[in-house]
Amino acid sequence: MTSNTSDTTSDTTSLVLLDRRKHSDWRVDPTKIYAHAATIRLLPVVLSELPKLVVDFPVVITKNAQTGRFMLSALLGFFENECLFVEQGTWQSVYVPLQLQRQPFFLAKDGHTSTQASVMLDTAHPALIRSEHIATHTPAVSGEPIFTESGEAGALLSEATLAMQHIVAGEVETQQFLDTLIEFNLIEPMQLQISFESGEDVTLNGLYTINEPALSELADGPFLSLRRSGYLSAIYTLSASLAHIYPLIERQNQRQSLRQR
Amino acid sequence: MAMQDTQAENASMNAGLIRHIVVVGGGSAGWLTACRLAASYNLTQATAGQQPTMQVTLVESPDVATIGVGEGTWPTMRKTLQAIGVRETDFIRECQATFKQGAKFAQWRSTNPDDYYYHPLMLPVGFGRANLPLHWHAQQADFSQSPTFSPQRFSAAVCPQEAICDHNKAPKTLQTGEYDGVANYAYHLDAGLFTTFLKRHGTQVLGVNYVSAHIDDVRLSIHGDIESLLINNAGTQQTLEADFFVDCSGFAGLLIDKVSPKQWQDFSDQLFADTAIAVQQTYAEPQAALRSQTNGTAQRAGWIWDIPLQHRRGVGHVFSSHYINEADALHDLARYMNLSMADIEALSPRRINIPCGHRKTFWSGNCVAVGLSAGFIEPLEASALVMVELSAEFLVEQLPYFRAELPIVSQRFNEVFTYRWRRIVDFLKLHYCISQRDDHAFWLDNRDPLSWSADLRDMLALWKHRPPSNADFDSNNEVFPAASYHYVLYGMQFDCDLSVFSQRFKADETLAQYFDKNQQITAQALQRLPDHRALVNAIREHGLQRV
Repeated sequence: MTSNTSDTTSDTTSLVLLDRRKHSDWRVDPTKIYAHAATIRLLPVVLSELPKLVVDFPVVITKNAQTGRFMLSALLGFFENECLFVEQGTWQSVYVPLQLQRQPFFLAKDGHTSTQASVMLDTAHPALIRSEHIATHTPAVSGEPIFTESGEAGALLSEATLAMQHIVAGEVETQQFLDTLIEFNLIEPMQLQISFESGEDVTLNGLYTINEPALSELADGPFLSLRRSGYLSAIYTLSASLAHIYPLIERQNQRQSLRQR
Repeated sequence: MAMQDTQAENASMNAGLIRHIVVVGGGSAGWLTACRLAASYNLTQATAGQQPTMQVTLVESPDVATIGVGEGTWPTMRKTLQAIGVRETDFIRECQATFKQGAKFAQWRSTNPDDYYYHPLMLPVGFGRANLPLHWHAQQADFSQSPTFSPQRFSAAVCPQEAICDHNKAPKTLQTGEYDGVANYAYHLDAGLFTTFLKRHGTQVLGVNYVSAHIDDVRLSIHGDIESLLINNAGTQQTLEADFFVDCSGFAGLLIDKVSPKQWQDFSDQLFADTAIAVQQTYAEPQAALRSQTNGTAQRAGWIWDIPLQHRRGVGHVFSSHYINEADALHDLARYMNLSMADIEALSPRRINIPCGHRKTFWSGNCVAVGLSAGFIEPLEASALVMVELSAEFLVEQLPYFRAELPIVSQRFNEVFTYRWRRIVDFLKLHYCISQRDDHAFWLDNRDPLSWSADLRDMLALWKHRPPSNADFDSNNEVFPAASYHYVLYGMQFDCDLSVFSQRFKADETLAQYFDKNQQITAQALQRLPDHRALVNAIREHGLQRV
């Protein structure tokens, strides 16, 4: 089975502007946020997350489905719509990436070229509890309020907003990093062909990584400029993170063997 | 004393070396050749403080216009652009370029409005492993008795590209790296914008010296080769010396005329077209659906090209003045374009003489003709630019370092390109000679074997009973592969009898699997590939990545 990896993580048709009046009673069940992540195979990440992502995740370079521009993604699984880091609704790593920390909210630019952005709410998100449903919920699963009684942002929204700010700044920084890699011919395509214990196999296209031979042959001038930009650490981390593909294969094998029981 | 000795030593050492190349002419041929040479010599990488070992200078006259047509290319152009360090993104943005996936030939077999076939850029599925023409013919024969039978076009049966073109799909996605394709492709480009683009790249990036001047005289040495050019820049004359000259001055052949015997290899008895009328038409709707192939529609005494660029169409009627006159030809063009005579006149049609043939001696002494100065053939398979690319490549790989070796190399060049021209003529004639059209003397005369070359007559005799094979094209210098002949022969439903040939092969049901495989690939391609216009827009906005 061959798969082209151009997943997007947000279906934008269900996004509405967050409104402290309309959504004053709405709540979020944090335990369901990860349930939603269970279908995500590739998660966009930003440069500043790399030192934390490296604990568990292979980080690859991918291309944005709409613009074809390079971006960074954490590889969370091998099959479409299957994330190996969510088991029974719980997240299986010590680090929760920013794109999960922000859910069920979303920061959308006000226009294609605008520098202003607004916080949106994903009304189709399974973790969202609308006010009309609260009465039917028992107190034990009532989740957390989005807004406090005085209409201020609740703890969950505040943390999510912080995550979104990191994402926005991080995307700019990540783009500059990737543009530099491209300029020095340091990105190469990578195809993953994996056979699992079950006999099933999968081929993933559309992934890229650091071109290590090109890196080792890089002339002094460009290499020093990488050091000055502080990019060397990220470059080596990206390469090293690919080792996480092996434990990821193990997760897939275990999941498949559990299914067959 | 010592200084003089060194200088004398250097002078005699350098006398035998080719160090300075002058290219005359600033059209596509001139700039493609200059750029390929400059890129190969790495002119801008000269060690600091030293003179570069090679120099490439391009001279063009500000008074002489380029031919202004010549918009179809082959997949080789991707390699050429890469070789000179051009970004595909920049090329598409600046030359109004579109992707070309083949040619659609309509009404070549008959005047039936539904008559057409494709000559795509991809090999038939299983080519070289399976005898698809055999299976296709058998399939047509098996089903031809059925009342619901409609002949399946050969190209559609064996290659996904016809369907891709029918649906105006692009040959790649926004995620595909530059110069890579999901389907094989070439380009349509705006010739004028292309030369401007190459000129900027050649002078600013590759280190080509540019001189804007008219050629007043070509000065020969006592040995008969070119010593220098007397050039005229707005009234000021100066001498431009060089060791080697490339004549890209178009039909004028300013330099080659002076050094090479004026013998012409004429092919007008085989290919009758001798005139073209060309127009350009901006799209009424800027976001009009964008085709991904060149259309070539046969007419009563010629054919009409229709080339889609981003912003406009290039349309031209190639015809033979021996069979119809210019007024009739313009009328046919207007009818094709659904325009009144007044409307087509408003597009300022350009009339161009297109003599079919080439110089017998392309390269003489230290001068070689590349482009229109070498010869011309009707653009039925867009062969002009690829011949320029092949010439430039020959120079890059085989231009000697020492002048003394020029006679050896020039003879090889002349032989290679004479062979290639002959092959192109035969392949283009194939489009005409197996037609069933009888509506005009033009077609009847084309179908007369006396107007075919002896080679073509021989090959067609053999192909009556077996498909063309790679063994029929065994020169290192072939231009068209056997697969191309398959597409034209069977697209034209060439009347052949493969029954005896088929006896040699046991009935092979597995051949059907290739046709099934092609159906699958076609369905996948149609799903995966974006709309051509949408992709061009996306590339203009976001660009393509280098990998």
